[in-house]
Amino acid sequence: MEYLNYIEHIVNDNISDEEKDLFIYQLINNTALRRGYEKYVSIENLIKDEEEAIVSILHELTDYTLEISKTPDVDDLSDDHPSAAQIHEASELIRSVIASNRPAKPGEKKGWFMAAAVLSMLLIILNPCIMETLKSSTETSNFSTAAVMGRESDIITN
Amino acid sequence: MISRNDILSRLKARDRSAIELVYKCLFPSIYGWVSLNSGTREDAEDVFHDSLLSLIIKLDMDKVQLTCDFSTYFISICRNKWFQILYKRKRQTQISCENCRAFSYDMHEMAEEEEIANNRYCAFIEALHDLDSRSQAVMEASLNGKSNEEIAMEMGFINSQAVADKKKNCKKKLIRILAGDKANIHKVNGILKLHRAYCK
Repeated sequence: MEYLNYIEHIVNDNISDEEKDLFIYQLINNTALRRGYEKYVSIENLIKDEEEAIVSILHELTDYTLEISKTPDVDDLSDDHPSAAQIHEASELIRSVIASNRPAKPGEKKGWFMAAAVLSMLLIILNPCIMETLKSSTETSNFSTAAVMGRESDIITN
Repeated sequence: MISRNDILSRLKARDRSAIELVYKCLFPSIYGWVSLNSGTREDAEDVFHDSLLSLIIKLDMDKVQLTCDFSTYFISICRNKWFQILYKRKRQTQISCENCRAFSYDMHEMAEEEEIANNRYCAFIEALHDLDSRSQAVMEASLNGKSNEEIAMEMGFINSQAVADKKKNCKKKLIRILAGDKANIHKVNGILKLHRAYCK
């Protein structure tokens, strides 16, 4: 980056008003210096933003300290890998292990319990009706049997 | 307890029983920690998946050198991964808020900005790696929320002002690294040495 030392001096050191005026004059007239200064400011902002974001996340995290030397472990290395198919295969394998060891969701268990409860409630409610139906059907059949039996006894008597 | 060399070779060979062993032994503590830090079970599963996948990729490229217990190593990868996910989420929220403010809802633009934010993070972390060990330690302590007084006490600085000066110099170095001017970092180091000699 061009003029980095000069920009650094202007930004970080105590400078006189004349020096400041000269720098502003050069900023207006010198394109390379202007570009360099813009780049410097954008990098400075980048560092500030990243620092703020990292500090705020770390502040919210419990039982964790950032170790700069260990951060490459979280890098996405998939671009460097020779075979995308192998990565996909490994990914699928891990996903299947996770899925097969995942406990049933509490909602799913509740669903079965709910179904069983509804069924038993239905049986309890419907039970008198069923009994009634069964009773009436038994009575009808008894009556018809008796009727048949009666006719038969008449025939036998005759 | 998972045997270090055995598990690494089995993971490299994509042994399902090895993955199951890692899952059964380590997932409960990963899930516990993720849920303690505002994550769900799905988040913990994603963290486990991504961490194990990156470990397997590193194993394929022979980039793994274990200096500690496998469990400690793997849990540390998972923790870093969760930190990275939280960082991405925070940036996404910031980007979407900025876009809402600007009345721009272009998804393509948002994805581009997200990528830029990710690149900025990677550039910053890489720049931190290029710092010398003492500067790295100061930046690390500062990012972990330690005050200048605490850093001075822990790292043997004369006072908190010396820490503030050190941080300022670290930022100068970071700017030089990010500006692609690595060759001149020694100049900053030289200035720092002179400054220290002057302070003494």
